Amino acid sequence: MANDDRVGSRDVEPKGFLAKTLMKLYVPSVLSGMKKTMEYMIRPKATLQYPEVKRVTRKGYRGEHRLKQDEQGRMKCVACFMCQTACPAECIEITAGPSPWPDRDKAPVQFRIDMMKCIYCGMCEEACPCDAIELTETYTQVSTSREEKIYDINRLLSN
Amino acid sequence: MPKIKIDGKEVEVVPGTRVIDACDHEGLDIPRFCYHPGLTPAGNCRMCLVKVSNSRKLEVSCVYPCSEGLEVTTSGPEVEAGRKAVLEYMLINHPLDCPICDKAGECQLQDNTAEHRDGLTRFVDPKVVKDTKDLGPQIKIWGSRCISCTRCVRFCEEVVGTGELAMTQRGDHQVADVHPEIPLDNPMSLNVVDICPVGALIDKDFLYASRVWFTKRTDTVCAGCSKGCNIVATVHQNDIKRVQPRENHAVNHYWMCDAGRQGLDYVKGPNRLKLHRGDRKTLAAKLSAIAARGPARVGILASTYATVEEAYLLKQVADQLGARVGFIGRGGDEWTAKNGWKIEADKTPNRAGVAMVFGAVEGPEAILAGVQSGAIQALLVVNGMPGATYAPELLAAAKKLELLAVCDIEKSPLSEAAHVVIASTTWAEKDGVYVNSTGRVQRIQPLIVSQGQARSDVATLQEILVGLGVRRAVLSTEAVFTEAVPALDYAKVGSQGVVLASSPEATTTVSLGAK
Amino acid sequence: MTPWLIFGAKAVGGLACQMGVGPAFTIVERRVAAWIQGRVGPNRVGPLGLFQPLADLVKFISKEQIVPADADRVLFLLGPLLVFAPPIFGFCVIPYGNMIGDEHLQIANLPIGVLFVMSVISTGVYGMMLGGWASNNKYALLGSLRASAQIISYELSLGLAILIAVMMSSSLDLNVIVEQQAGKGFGAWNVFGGGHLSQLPSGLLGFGLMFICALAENNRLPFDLSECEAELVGGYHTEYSSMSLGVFMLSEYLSMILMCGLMTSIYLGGWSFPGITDPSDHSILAGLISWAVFMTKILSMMFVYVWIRWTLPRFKYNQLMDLGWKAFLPASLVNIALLAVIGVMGV
Ligand code: SF4
Ligand code: SF4
Ligand code: SF4
Ligand code: SF4
Ligand code: FES
Repeated sequence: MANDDRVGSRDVEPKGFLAKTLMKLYVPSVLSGMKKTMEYMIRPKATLQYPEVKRVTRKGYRGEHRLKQDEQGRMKCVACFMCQTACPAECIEITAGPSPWPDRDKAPVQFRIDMMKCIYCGMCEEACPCDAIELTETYTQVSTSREEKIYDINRLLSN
Repeated sequence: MPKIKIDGKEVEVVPGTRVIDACDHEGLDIPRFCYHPGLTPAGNCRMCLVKVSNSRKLEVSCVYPCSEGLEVTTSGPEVEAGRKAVLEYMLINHPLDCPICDKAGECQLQDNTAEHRDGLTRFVDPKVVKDTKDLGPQIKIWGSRCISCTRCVRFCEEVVGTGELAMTQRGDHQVADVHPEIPLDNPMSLNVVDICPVGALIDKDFLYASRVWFTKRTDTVCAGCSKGCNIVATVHQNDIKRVQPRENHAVNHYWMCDAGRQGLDYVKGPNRLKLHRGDRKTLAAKLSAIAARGPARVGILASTYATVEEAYLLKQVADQLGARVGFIGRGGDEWTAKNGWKIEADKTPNRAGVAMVFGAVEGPEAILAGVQSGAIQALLVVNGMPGATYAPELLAAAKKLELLAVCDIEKSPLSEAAHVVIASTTWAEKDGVYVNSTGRVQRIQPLIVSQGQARSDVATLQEILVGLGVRRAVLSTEAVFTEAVPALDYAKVGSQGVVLASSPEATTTVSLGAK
Repeated sequence: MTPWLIFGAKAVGGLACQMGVGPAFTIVERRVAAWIQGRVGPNRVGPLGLFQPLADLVKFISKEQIVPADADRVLFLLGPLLVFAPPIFGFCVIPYGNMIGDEHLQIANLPIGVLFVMSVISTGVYGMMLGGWASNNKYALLGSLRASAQIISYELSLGLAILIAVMMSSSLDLNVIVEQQAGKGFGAWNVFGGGHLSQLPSGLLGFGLMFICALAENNRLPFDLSECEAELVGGYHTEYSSMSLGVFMLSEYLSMILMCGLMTSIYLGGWSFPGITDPSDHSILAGLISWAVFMTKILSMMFVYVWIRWTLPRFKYNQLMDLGWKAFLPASLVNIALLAVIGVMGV
């Protein structure tokens, strides 16, 4: 079969006039295709009806960030900028200041994450020496403006 | 000239050279803490251990002199073991709180620990905790981080001569400290922050300001006085976070004064002039129309903050309009440290440069008189000096002016009264060349992008000159400089500057351009 | 008065078959497409998403009608209507149920119904041609050119395939053709030889050819080269928006329904189904049952249309033409000759 347009299923070399003609008319290929699509048609679908049914995240899912707090409700972050340094998307922006607590020097005054830049890689969590930041399993982020997408320290603490 | 061998390589050295300097000259990296080339060696940290042929034990290279035939080994298991041991001792009480230490990223202890130490500490007892407290209005100490290298102590004693600092306590409680009633506030005190090899001494202005690895560093020259200290600015997100001295033995060695580091707030200050006002395009035409009415109808008021390029262009404008040029400046106190390091009384950076262009620097008095008498009908003010104040008489008389054009960096009563206002760039935002009090030609560079509409005076003046028909096009600042000083360009000025012929220290003979 | 009333009722019934099924079928198409692609499909508007066509309609109507600046305004707006009308006309002669009383369930009982349908179908291409040309857009023009060339090419084979059924039934009257196939078991269906086993191959081949040509006539995948978005943006309706685009889309379904109705009538026994319908029962109930049978047949065929659409990739233009001229046309001619010989020999 020189004409490439006419090649049907390459698996079986057709024998006999009828078989060859049917092959030329794409009949076997069309039928096998239709069989396949019928299989798909009746197969159960993986889609979840989202707002009603929510996917249960697996352990270790990386969603929105949270700034953790210790037992006394003080944020654990010491504004070391390690997360900002590690972040490949450069979406963390910390402003440091003196800490209000005597047991440490430094604390963030502001801590912003641009959730639109973030790629949810978890490097920040990995880099933090104080176990102060973590990625929660919240994967829905709703906001009505770009500004809202830049989470500030209060938002991150309350996550 | 004694010959020594460093790692098998023969080197000839000046008599009295220390081994560490010879190694530095060879490009070998000897770890160190207490040794600083600007201070007398103390040999107390013992980090700089090397093996030398005439001693069985390891020797500290920062005090060991080179003698004929000495063989030095700077690496190998023995030397490494020695350095490791020293570091281990040093880290016994050091908190290693690098994540929240402002020195991290440029800390010698951090670098050396990363380079020369492996494993965790074997020390199990609690660490000694020392105070964190203010040493002076500008400097804070984290005692626990101090490694007792005494660099700061030696600096205050040998360079400044005020000796506020001393090592207090003994043993592992030893820490640098001041007398409770004598704060560390000499005019050069902030240098101790730079030379402290660890994060013990911190400038309160830079405290928590930025992590150094996010910052950009740009070489420039300080504009605080006519000494012209070579400095490097640390910039983060278009904000000057700090400036530090840059080594230049012809000018400032390793140091700079505190005043030069501070008072840079004006660059982003609330008083900055950011918007132009009035008709810039017709300025040249109006000036030349007024100038045509007779001699000295136009006056020009500038400051000795002007760069060589600006002065050169000002001269061209003045020549064309037959205008007189008066310069405002700023004086202050001269101060000399114990070792002769001097802070100049002239608090503007380029009086020498302006003098070279104009021959002599005239004060503003003649301009003031002209404006008051009504002889001067148009006044062009070109000022790059922060915090410039204009005489109240001038402000009163300015109402009489037919045309008042002000190119300034800050708002002033004069700019309020002006017909045309052009926002100019400051020292931190422009290119240019200053000539310091010793006649050294040095280059400044833009550190940050300019604020608002601010544009360089070099461009503004060239535009006026194009309008006057003197120049044909607006060129780059460097092109203007090469025109003003044909023998030089920015590459020749380089990072360390060159000296002009008129100076007693002249090594390179350079003559000024035609005008 | 009464004849008009009866005519009115028949017209409403016939139109309802077509106009009701058309939009409803858009949702079927979208759901089936989704299932084949492992999706769920539109299921938000109304129960099971059944009101989706209504939502689509509202959307189409409420959008802005844009007429390109350099387009021929009158022809541009006429195009969709010219595409829309033929399938409706054609459906007038399709019998959509058994007789009720003395009345055929058919809007107009034409003795040459088959010819009428054929002539009407081919006029649909004028609308596409006009629309494509009046848009003043090269993609639209190319699309409409393709559409006309394709429809003309396949009309030959289509006509010949219809001829097979006509030859088997010896009539051009669709009622006669359907009644001949009714009440005598599957064997009487023209697709299975119209009662003569010797005609079985001709019937099968004829039906197969007609089915494929109908796909091409309706510009359905795999033959929708006239609106091939990979090359021609949107084909002849590139410039159309709002309800005029909606009319184009709807017409596609209407002509699908017409084609399926025609195929059902001439090959698949029309409204009859052995064991379910009784051709001699002319009661209202029997009429409704036969109508239901007819609609079920149409819908099943349309389902196959959709199924094919989401299975096969689009042909290339040369393949399309090759198939039409070099395979289907000779096959149809041979088929006719075969049937003629069989008929003459009276086997
Ligand atoms: S998850 Fe990754 S990208 Fe997002 S803030 Fe953390 S480090 Fe940056
Ligand atoms: S790494 Fe952890 S402690 Fe450091 S700034 Fe980020 S969140 Fe805070
Ligand atoms: S002084 Fe150096 S080693 Fe010590 S905490 Fe600061 S950065 Fe780390
Ligand atoms: S404060 Fe710094 S410079 Fe001073 S002794 Fe301690 S480590 Fe050395
Ligand atoms: S550097 Fe030599 S002993 Fe400190």
